[in-house]
Amino acid sequence: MSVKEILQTKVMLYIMGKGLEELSKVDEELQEEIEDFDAILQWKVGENLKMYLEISDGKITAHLDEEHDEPTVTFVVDDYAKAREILSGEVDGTSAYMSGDLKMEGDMQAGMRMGQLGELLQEALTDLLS
Amino acid sequence: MVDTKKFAVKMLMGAIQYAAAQLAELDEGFKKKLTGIDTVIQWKVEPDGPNSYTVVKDSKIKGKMDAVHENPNFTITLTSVDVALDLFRAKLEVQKAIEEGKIKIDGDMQKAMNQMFILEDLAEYLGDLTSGG
Repeated sequence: MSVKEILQTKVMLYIMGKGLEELSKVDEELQEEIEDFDAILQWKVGENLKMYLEISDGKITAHLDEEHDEPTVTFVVDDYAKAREILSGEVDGTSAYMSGDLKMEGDMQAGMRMGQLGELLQEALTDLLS
Repeated sequence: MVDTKKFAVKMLMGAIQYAAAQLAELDEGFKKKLTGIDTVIQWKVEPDGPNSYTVVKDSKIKGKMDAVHENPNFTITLTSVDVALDLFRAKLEVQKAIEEGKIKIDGDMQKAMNQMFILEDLAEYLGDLTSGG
């Protein structure tokens, strides 16, 4: 895997993780969404890239380059390019799941919530992604 | 409602520093080029942030978001959120923006120019990502 591929994918994980962390401090819609939702949402890309979101007490904390022992749900994407498409919202999570590019391990219900968080982040990131 | 422009600037500012830190670990060539550099770069976006600073030391790069350093070697002031957004998305001619006063650099200009490679190397890796393509 090239350094460029790794770096770009890490940056996308950063933007999703830190983006949701930041948004959970200021965005009421997101705060409502996670009000009664405590979970560890873990992402793994390829062999080495990992990140997890810790959601508790109405806050989101992103743990970059860290792995959790007991995640509520883990999203696994083997291919770096596919991962970037999913993380940027270019490909939506449901279709990626259907095609097998995105795998989910653990609590499916919690996994579905990730989709909603992703949508809220997308809205907030319009000026970045457009 | 979230100020989406400011939010985007903050995310990019953090992401670029994170990427620089990662590149210093992943790329031996880049790491070598950092040898001997001991510098603190303060980033400011007018009128009210986001602000952050970057520490380059011992061939490592570390970014600190939402922070103002007491004694930076350089301060790079981006005179509006739009200027910051264009800069971070590689949609700005940096030299021109400096001449026009859209970007202000305080500190040792010679040193600043010598260390410009950090941004140039990063742009090579991230250019097509942050430009939204």
